[in-house]
Parts: sequence; structure tokens; C-alpha cells
Amino acid sequence: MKNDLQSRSKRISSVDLPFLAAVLLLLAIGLATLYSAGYAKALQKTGNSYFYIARQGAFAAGGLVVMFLASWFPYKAYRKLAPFLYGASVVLLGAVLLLSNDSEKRWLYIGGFQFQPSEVAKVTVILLLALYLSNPKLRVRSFWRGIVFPAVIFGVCALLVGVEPHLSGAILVCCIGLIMIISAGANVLQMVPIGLACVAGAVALYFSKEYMQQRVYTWLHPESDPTGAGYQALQSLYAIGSGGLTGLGYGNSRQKYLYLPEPQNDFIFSVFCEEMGWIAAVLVLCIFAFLIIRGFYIAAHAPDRFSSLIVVGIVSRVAVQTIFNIAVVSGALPVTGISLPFFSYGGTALLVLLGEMGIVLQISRYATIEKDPPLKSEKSEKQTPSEQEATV
Amino acid sequence: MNMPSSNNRVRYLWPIVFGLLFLGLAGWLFRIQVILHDKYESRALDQQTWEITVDAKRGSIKDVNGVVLARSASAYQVLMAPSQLDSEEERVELATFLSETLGLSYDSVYEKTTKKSQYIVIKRRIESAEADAVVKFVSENKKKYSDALWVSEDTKRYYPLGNLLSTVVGFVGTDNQGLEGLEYYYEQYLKGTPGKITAIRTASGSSLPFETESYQDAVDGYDLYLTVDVQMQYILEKYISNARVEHNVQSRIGGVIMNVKTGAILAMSSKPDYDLNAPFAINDEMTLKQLLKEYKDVASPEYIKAYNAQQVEYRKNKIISELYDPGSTFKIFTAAMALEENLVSLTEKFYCRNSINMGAITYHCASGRSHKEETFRDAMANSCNVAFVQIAERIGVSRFYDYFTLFGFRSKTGVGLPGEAASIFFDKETMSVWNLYSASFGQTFQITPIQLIAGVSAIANGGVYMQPYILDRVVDQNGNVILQNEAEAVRQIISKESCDTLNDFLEYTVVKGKRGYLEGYRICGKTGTSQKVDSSSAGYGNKVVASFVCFAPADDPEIAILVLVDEPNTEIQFGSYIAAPLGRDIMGECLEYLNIEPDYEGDSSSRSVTVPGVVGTSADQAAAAMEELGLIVKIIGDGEKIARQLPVEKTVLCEGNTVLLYTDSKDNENLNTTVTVPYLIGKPAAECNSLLQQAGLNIKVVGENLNYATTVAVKQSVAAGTQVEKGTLITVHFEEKKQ
Repeated sequence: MKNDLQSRSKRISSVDLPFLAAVLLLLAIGLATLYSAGYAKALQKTGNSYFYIARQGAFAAGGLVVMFLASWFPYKAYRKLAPFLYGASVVLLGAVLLLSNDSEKRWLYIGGFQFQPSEVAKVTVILLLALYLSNPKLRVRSFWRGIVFPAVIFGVCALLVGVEPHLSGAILVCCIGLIMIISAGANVLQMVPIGLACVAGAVALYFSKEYMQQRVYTWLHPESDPTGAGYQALQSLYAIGSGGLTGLGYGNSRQKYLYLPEPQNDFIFSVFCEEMGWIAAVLVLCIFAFLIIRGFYIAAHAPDRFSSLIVVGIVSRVAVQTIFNIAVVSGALPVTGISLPFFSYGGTALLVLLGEMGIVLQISRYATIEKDPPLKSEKSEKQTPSEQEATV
Repeated sequence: MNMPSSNNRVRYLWPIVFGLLFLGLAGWLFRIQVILHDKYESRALDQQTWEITVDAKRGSIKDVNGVVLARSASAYQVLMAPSQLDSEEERVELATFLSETLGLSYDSVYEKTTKKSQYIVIKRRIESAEADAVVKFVSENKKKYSDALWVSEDTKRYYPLGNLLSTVVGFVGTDNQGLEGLEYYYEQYLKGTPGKITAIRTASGSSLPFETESYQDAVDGYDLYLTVDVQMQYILEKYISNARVEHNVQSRIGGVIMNVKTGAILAMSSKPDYDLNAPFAINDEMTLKQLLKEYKDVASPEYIKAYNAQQVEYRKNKIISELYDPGSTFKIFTAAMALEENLVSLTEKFYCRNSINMGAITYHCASGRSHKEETFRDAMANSCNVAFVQIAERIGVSRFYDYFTLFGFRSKTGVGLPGEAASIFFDKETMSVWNLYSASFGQTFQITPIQLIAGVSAIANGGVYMQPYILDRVVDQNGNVILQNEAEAVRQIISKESCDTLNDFLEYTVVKGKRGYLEGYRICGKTGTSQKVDSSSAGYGNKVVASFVCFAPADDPEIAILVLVDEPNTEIQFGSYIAAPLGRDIMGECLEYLNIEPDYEGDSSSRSVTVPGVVGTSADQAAAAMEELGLIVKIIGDGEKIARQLPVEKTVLCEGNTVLLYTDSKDNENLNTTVTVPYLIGKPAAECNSLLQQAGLNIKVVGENLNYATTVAVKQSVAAGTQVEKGTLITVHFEEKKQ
């Protein structure tokens, strides 16, 4: 076993290069887009048109350092850290609710530095869930142990994020959690009643709250209130629709000039579509898809169940967030605040994201990707539970 | 071991699920970006694009000599971008300020401040004082409103001459579009082409950092030069305005002057009219007084209804858009037909017993007197219906109809003004001889005054019908002539010889008729008194149109004048009494203006006449006796015998003076016959003549080398203000005007 580890640590030097390439490519495209998209808004808000790109560039640089460090930081250490990190993030989420005076309590200010606890919470939920679900004694097909208990782990965080209020953040946490539970082998049939209950709850919510109906209506008919509730959705559609096949050219978006509400953040992809066109947008979607599929490939070949689930969680988060964001800006889903990974402006989010990418890269070092046939990988995974037992 | 299942989920399930979702997104984006591209792009451009229209300056309207009748000058407009207002206080403050400064209602301004717009017009065409107040307000409030409120250039239409030529020129609406008259008719020349600035802007209204603006310069409107001469227009309007008051005209009074050689309209007016600078108001005092007298309260609905009906009526150009029976003035054309067709010899005698029976209908002479034996020329001078009915019989329906058509009475003249009315005449097939007989003296059909003057001008012009026109040329802002109207001979209707004979008839008619006669000038003319169709009974009623058409000088006619007095309300309504002196006065002053020198040689005006005593004789006899001596007779009342005459027997008058004969009717008892002598010093002869005639007095002109154009009265034998009997002779001395 030790030999096994050592033999693997010999090829430790190599992270998964295709995944790394996808990350760097997306980061580069994201920064370039932010420069163009945030230009007018920065000028209007701060008087300095480089405000967003300068800060985001700095965070990207810092994020790359974090990614590099995370790719070397042994993932097994997270087994011990996970409960503490989780506890800390729950405390932070509680603190932000108590301390923040904003109408949406998302930011914590610590000595002139501000960050979003919900961004951190997502990672800690992933780590703790991975830890819980990778326990070899866990009867994953049990309704209570395989579904309800892990649901409590992400549910607590989702609830705290949800009451900020940050509904889309809460939904994101739930999605990540569900994907991890299903990946761990939970009995999907047992989830059907829960799913039905959720649908019933959503329907009840829809009919009990008028603003919900209003929101759904403006989503389906943004033209009905072009200057009010439908404004954001409509402006985004104008931007994307203006792009056509090949776009207006880099830097030539017109919708970013204060028509789009958040051209540097949630609606950055609309600007990208307007400037670069459909072909480029599909190329970006392909890179995202490649990153995600490659991520699941790494997860499938991860050295153990714990690391596999970590990768599943991290990759799912990127996937769900990307799909949500693009669906929202293109009018396929109602408008809700959700940012686009690698593209949207936001320091904490980018640091955390690149940190997560670092963790995936760290795990990819141990994955049996290139050389090992699938059987071998399964074999290697078989060995891991015993290893885990020893460490827990 | 549950690993395979979970590992398959990680390996296959999620990549497939997410892959499909990404595929779905790509498809969805394709729908928005490519399929719905045009829709979204156009909507995006709609909101991003700012198109600013740069108004073209509207062209001016000028008279033949360049005197400005209508022009556009710079004014200002106040514009607002309400989307730049951040708070309720700002909206309230702005609405309060603007409503007070610009005289607008607070509510309407406030409503504009709540719009989510970048460009709203608050008020257009304001003067610089108001504009300055707005600019000052913006600067006083620092930069608070500098993005939300601003003043920009605008244009305003000015009509410097007010009422002059108003029914012809017309006016513009709020958006500078021509609504009536020339302003409307020549919109395409006047309006110009507005320029455009197209720019793509940010949501807050500033320009984008890259070039997106495109400019298209405005092309200013063209100037119109009319054939109208403001000086002659002024003469025409002065006289018809006075005559309107003098004869207490119930409907309207109109006049038109045409250059017979070119067909150019030199002046055209109908009164009352309106001030072009306030086209929806009545500015005629006589009308306002009458309305007030009739309806008492200016706020009453009846008053407002009547007011509005009148002001619409006063904007109409009577010369173009109103039909009338031309009456005896039309005898000119009947005579022209007979002369051209050699149907009557100049020596042939007609006999008038006051009436003639033509089968079903008996026709009478309007004068009520028998003209007895008369030549064709006398028949014209006597305006004898009996003779003209016989002449018409020789012409026949078919020929009459054809000449009627040739003189242009069945088609619009196309003078170049809007709202020209179409005449009403018989169908050739169904026109009866009785229709013909009535038509021969101008009744039972209707034409426009412009048609009549165009026809008369053709006769004055040796039988050549000239196309009437009022627009001389169109000139762009660089002085390039865009359009030049030339005199256009349409057709020769009758021969020069026939015209010469007819001109002699018409000159004789004026000389014999006296009231159209003007010392020193040879004027051809004919009066008319046509009965108006009563709208209630559809037959001829008691109301008349008194008219006079004339042209001069007889040997080489230059101008023709038509005046028509619609519904005079005085004791005598004949065209010869009312319209002839009016036409004569206008003609006199116009000829003077045109530097056509008067010729007094052989003029017998100063010849003295001693008035015979006619009291006790019959009216017919008395009139004949006076006319024998060259005096003009005015018979007052409908009695058989003359009861009184003014001036009395043996008074010395001049030939052409007027004698008033009062019959023994009851109306004439206790009649006030004293009048006040008017002030004449400094006035030209035509005006003195007119003033004295209005007062019922006679004039004796004294002076050496009288030149009509430059002499004025320097002395009058009876002082102004003196009360004298009607018919008194006032001797007036004329001398060269001192420069």
C-alpha cells in the first residue's frame, strides 16, 4: 500500500493538463470580456473605467497563486479540516445575518476587506458531504443515512444562504448537494416523494404569493413591462439578440452602456454574446462543457471515494452555476442573481473558484487517468476505502 | 458493493446530463441570436438610437418687388429629459418653474416630468425673454438640471403685414406646416428638407466613445415671389375696407386686379379678413360690434358659435372660392360673341319698351325705364336686358355655350391657389332658350370672380386669354431660380377687331354712366347688379351683389379691376351707384401708381352747367333732362313726380356732377338733407372726389397743368365741418405736391 502510494507520488508532479488548460482559457476569456463589459459601468460608478478589470486582474493573480498552492496541498488533509471548515462557514453565515446592515446580507467586512461567506460555504459543504458520503460504513441506499442526513448538511447552509436572502445561492447549494448524494449511490426512487413534495411546495408558493406569479409572468412576457420588472430580462435579450452569428466586434457592445443592469457581473455573458456572436458563445460553452466533462472524468478516476466526491461537488458547482447563469440571461429562466464562473466580477468568488480548481488539480495528480485501464482504476478505488478507514 | 452504480453516475450520467443541457443552451442561444436577431436588434437600436431632426428653415413669401409677406425667424423651444430627474422634489420644482415662466398648466408640465423619456418638448416658439429665463434658471441651480432641461433653437412664422393679402397668403400650423392659402398650396417649395443627426447613445444619453453619429444637412425651404404688388394690394384694400363701412355691407366685399397683358394677379382681397399672426381670431371691429350687439355675452355659447362660424368664413378667399351670378357685367361676353359672329350691325336699332315677351317668359329691364330706340352701343351703355335677350336669340344656345367654354367659365382658372370653386352652368344638351336669355345678362348661372376677371382681361388683351397666375417665381436660398412662371397665352377667343369695337362700347358705357368715369383717363367698364339666390327659397331674393369690372387705359389696356360688393345695405344697391365709384377710385390710384399719366386734353369736366328746374315733372322726364346736360341723376324714393331737387334750380354745377331728385313718396318727407363738408386739403383728386361723393356733395376741380399723380388739394371753397345742403358744389384747388 505504501508502495502504491509512492508509485503514485512519483507521477505526482503531473496535474491534469487538459483541465488546467480549460481553466486558464476560461479565465483569460473571462478577464478579456470583463474588461470590455465593465468599462462603461466602471466609468459611470467610479470615474475609472479600469476599476473592475484592475481589481479582477489582481484577484485572478491571487487566485492563480491559491490554485497553485491548492494543487500541492494534500487533499487528504481535508478529511480532518472539513468539519472545522464547515463549522466555521456556518458561523460566518450566521455572522453575516447578524452583522450586515444591507438589505441583502451577503457581505462581511473585516478590516476594509470584504467577502461573501456564501462563496466559502459552498466549498465547505462539498468537503463535509464528501467526507460523510465516503464513509465506507455508510449505507448509502438507506433513506435516512443516504439521503436525509446528508441533506441536513447542505440544507443548513442552504437555509442560512436563503434567508440572506440569496435564493439562487441556496438553490445552487441544494443542487450541488443533490448531485453529490446521487453520485454517492443514493436510491433515486426514494427521492421521488421528496421531489414531489418540493414540486408541491413550489406550486403552493406560486399560488400563495402574488409576487411569485408576477415574477413568472414577467419571465414569460418580459415585453409586458419593458421599463419595470421586465427591464433586465429584455435588455439582456436585446444584447444577445443584437450579436447575431458573428457579433458586433470586441468592445463594440452598445447594451453595456448602462442599458444592461449588471454588465460586469450577472449579465456579462450577454455582453459577450453581443460582441462576439453565437459562434464564439458556443465555443465558450464547449470549453465549459469540456472542463465539466473532464472534471467528471477526473472524478471517475480519482484515487478514492472522498476525493472523487470532492471533484464531483466542485465540478457540479461550476456546471450548475454556468447553466443557471446562461439560462437566466437568455431568458430561459426567471431573472435571479447568479454569476458566471470565470467571467463575472467578484473577488471572493474568483479566489474560491480558482482554489477549488486547485483542489481538482491536486486530486488529478492522484487520478489514474492516462495509463490505467478502467479496471485498474476501479481496483485502485477499491483500495481506498480501507485507507480511509485507517485515517478516519 | 454499490460502487459500480455510483461510479457510472459520475462517469456517464452527469457528463451526459450536463452535455445535453449545454447543447440545449446552445440551441436556445441560436434561437435568440440568429433566428430572432432582427427583432431584438431593431428593438435595441430603437432604444439606443437618437434621431434628432434639424428643422429646415421655411421659405419666405414675398411680393413681386421682394416685400416680405411671410417669413420664418429664429425663436426658441424648451426641451426636457425627464429621465434625468432623480427625485419628486426636482419634478415638482421644475414643473412649478416651467408652468409659471412659460404660462403652461402645472398639471400638464408635471405629467411630462414623470415620463421615462430623454426628449420631450415643453414649449415651442418662445421669444428670447422666456428662453433667457429658462437658461438662467438652469445655471442658477448649478448643475442639478443641466442634463434635464435645455433650450434649443426653433423657428417662428411672422407675417409682418398682418391682414394684408391674408386670405391669399394663408398661415402655418404648430408644426410649421402650411394650413391655408399659399402656405398650404406651395408647401413642397416652402417647407424644405429637414436634416437629421443620428447617434447611438448610452442609456443616460451621452455619446458612445466610438463614432456613431451621422449627419444629414437640412435644406432650407425656397422663397416664393408673387405677382402681387403690395402697393396695389394696399390701394385695393384701403378702398374696399372703406366702402364696406360706407355701404354697410352685410356679407363681404372683394376685389381683384389683373395685368391684362400677362394674366398676373396684381392684387386680390376680400374683406373682412383676418390677421395672419392670429388666424383664429376676428380682428374686424364692425363684426365684433355686431356680434356683441346680437348676443350680448361674449361667453355665451351662441356668441362663441357665431364667432367661430364668422372667423372660418373670413379666412375664405372670396375671389377664388365663392360663386356668384355675374349679372350685367356678363353682357360684355354676350356682346363679344355677337360682334365676333357679326350678328349685329353697329347701326342697327333695337327698341326697348322696358319688357319683351319671349314665349313663356317676359324679360324686363332692371332700370324700370324704357330705353326706346337704341343702337348696340347704347344697349350696352343702358345695360338693356331687352336688347340683349334679342341678341342672345341670334347667338343661339350652342354658340353661346361654346363661347362660354372658350372664355374659361366652365373650367377652373388654375391661378395657383387652393380652394378654387367650380362654376355652375347648364348642360349643352338640356340648356333651353330661356336659360340662354337669362344667361345673356348674367343670371341663372354662377362663376367665380377670378373667372370673370380672367375673361374680361382676355377682351382687354385683344381677345387673347392669358393664363391667370399669382406665383411669379420660386427661388432657393442661394438665389437660384427653381421655377419661373411666364405669361402664357392660352388661346385667341375673339378677334382684335371685335375687341376694339367692344372696348369702344365699354368706354362709352363708363362715360355715359358717369360714376365709373375718371377725369383724364379712358376707362372701359361695365357694372352689374345681380340678385343673390336666397338659400331658404332657392329662388332669387332681395339681396344683391353689386359689381363693377373695368380696364384701362382704353387705347392700350394695362390692368383690369373687378370689385364686388356682396349685400350692400343702403337705399340704393345698384352696381352703378355702389361698385362703379369704388372701381374708379381704385383704378385711379393704381394708374397713378403705375405712372400712367392722365390726359386732360379735350376734357370737358370743367364745363359749367346750369341746373334746370324739374320739380313737378315726372321722374323719367326729370332724369332725361338732367342727363341731357351731362349731369348724373340720383332718384330717391319711388314716387311718380319730383317733389324736390338738390341743388335747386339755376345752381351752376360742372358736367358730371350729381343732382338729387326726391320724388313725392312719403318716405321723403322730413328727410335730413344737410351734410358735413369733409376735410380735403392734402388729398389727391381721386380721394377728394370720393369723399365729396360719399357726402352727397359735388366737386369743381380747379388747377393748372393738373397731373393726376402729383397734385393734391390745397384749398376748398367751403370749410371742412360746415353744414350744407346735399348737392352743394365745392370748388377744390389742386396744386403740385411740394416735395
